[in-house]
Amino acid sequence: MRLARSARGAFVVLLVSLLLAASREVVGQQLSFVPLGSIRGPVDRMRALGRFAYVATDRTLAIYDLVKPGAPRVGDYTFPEQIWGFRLDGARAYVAAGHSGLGILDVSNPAAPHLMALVRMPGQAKNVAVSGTRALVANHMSGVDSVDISSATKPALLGSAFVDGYARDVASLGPVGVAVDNPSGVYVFDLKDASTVEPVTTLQTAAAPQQVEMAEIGGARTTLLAVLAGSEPYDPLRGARPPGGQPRPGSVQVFDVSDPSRPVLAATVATSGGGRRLAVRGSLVYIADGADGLRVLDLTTSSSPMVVGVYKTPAPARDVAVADGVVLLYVNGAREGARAQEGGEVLILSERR
Amino acid sequence: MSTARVLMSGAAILTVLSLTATAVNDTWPQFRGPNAGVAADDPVLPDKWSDTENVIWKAPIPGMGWSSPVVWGDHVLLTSAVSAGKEAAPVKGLYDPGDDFGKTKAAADHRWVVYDLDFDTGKIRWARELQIGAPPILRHLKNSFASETPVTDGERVYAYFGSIGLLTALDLEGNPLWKRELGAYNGPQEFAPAASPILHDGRIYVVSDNTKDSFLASFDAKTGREIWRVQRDEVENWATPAIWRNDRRTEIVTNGRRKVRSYDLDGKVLWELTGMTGNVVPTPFSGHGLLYISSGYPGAPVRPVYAVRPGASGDISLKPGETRNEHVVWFQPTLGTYQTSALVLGDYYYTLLDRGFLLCHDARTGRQMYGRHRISPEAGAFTASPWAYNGKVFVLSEDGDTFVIQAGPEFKLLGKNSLNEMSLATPAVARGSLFLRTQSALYRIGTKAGR
Repeated sequence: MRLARSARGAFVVLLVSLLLAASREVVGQQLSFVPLGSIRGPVDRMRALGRFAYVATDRTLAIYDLVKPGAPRVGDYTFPEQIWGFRLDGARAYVAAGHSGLGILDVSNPAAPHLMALVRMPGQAKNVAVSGTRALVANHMSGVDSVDISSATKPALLGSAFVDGYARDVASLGPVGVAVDNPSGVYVFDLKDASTVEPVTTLQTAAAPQQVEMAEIGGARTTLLAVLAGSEPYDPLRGARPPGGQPRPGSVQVFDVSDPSRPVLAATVATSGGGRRLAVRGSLVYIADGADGLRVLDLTTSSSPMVVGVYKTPAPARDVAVADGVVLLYVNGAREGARAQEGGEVLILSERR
Repeated sequence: MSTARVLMSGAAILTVLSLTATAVNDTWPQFRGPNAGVAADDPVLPDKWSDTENVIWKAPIPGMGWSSPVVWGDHVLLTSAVSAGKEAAPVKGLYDPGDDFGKTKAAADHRWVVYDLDFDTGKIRWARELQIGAPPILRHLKNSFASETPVTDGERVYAYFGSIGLLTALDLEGNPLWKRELGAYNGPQEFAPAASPILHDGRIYVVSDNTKDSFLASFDAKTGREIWRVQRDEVENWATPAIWRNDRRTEIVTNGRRKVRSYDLDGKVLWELTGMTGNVVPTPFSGHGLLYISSGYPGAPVRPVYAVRPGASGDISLKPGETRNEHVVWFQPTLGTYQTSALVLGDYYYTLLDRGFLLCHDARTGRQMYGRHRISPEAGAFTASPWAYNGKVFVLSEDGDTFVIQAGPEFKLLGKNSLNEMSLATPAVARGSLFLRTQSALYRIGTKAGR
């Protein structure tokens, strides 16, 4: 763990930020970021909730306390297989652990995460979304698995929806779930309808989506958005990576899914750094934009995303997570596509408006 | 003609067809057998088994090879690549292999071996080691260095190992007769090759699509002499070529990312077709006078199946918006499979999707009989191609589970037979028995009546 020189003061700032910034709407306002400290890498996926950072590295999900000086690691849990994705919902972490399936961790005591269930899915679980008593699992083989999680200790597979390509990610907000596959699929699920595991709508117009997050924009009419991060699709004929290890061009695509039966592409924003990971808070989208560092878009007008913040990083930004008042930005100078074992660090940034 | 006469004529035709079918049941000389996975009906063939039930014998097979067994008389022949060390284990499913996209370097030296097992006992009659050394190329974690199925004419067995570029012929006593060094080449993804050699009228045909020297070549089966070789504008495919004997001529058909090409027996291109996906694996095959060609890299916007009638020449590709033309009888834009080849049994074209779905179409028209039907909630991934006999379609999952499905225009699952070990090789059917290869063993499955 490495700390900024004024660590104690910085964490006081962070604590105040966490307490005061909750759910404040930010519209069209420039953001700035102040580094507070860091967490040593490597990192595969990370998220933040409340005062804690949840960091997945290979098979282990570790929990860090962002409020305590030095952001110490307070607990962890190791799965039998690599963690490809996870989401947090209250005191539970839902973990997609490859062929081991869907894991449910009780993280109410961050010092001692407790496994409630680990159930195999039909293939390789890549990520999970939770809505009430139902979870959707993006599964590399079976598509999108629907799982009844009304019993957290005995999740039950309800069925799977076929997707054309490689399922990459799934997210949900309220009764709407959105899954994406490579190279172009967007699948919208109506989670109110418990009788079917099939999507309401399928689009094949996205640009190689790797990740999806959901956003809700208030106003005269509530708008539900699916925000996709993608890159140039993998072409088996051209090989795995561009020559010279340069990142493949990327984009953020915004789909309005307020009407699940008629999703509409609202906007596309090019990401110059080959950014693939993003995080959403309110109307703001935080993009880990490779060599361009952190970029923040405001989606208040979803058809015209506005850049409201940037933060240059010493190494390419690879992943991002947000909690109220704090941004976690994983930076790593290793070539794009390399596994995270090669180091890097998570920058802990205080967000100022 | 009276109804009775019609029925009698029909019965006579059926009898003749049945006798004809029975007559070709003795051998299984090549990948998918003589009839693209369809074995002649035989009441002694099994439709129920486990790793103990209806097992006539089980023979451990050293090393790793996803090639299929071939059968001729008392000889059950197959290939393997045996590592001197511990190699990375294959992973089931259409999985995300991580940052190296699955390409893997061998951990130790290998031995490339052809095995001959005794049909009655399963004992290894001979094992002919053809080469020892470090594999010169990488492979996909799920591929093997012995994925090409050998082919036999009952006099010789011809084995091709693309991973070392070796084509060889052995007699059925295991004695080497000739060998040709064709070069060990890989494609840009470095997944190692898998297209099997084929045999027709005294000639062996080998296709090698790679980044350095892609070719289709013909060799004299008796001497190994190269008869002709044509260069190919391809860099990477895994599809075994097909011999298409139609009412006009005999053609060699190769499937490929850039083009499907048909060659005459002297290597001259007869016709071409564009529009396939990346990572082309399915083998072309014929039925009802048509040639069926497909590919289906997951997520590709078009995963085509084409049914082509004989007599084509030149470029027969569909133009944008077309679904048929003078030579393409029918086309399905998203029916193609990734790994498995399709099956035509009777009037129907069966598609086994790698992710555990079966579909059925009219083989002559492409009309859908039933759409994507999940075979079973228990069914995982599929790589082996389907096969059929006795009015049943069999599909073998990577878990080693064979699901038995009633042939016909409606999906009906009849049962499941488990061997409880990873299985990617397409089985063989001969002399009243089924030959199933798992990761470590070869099973001869049969009923008591078939022993």
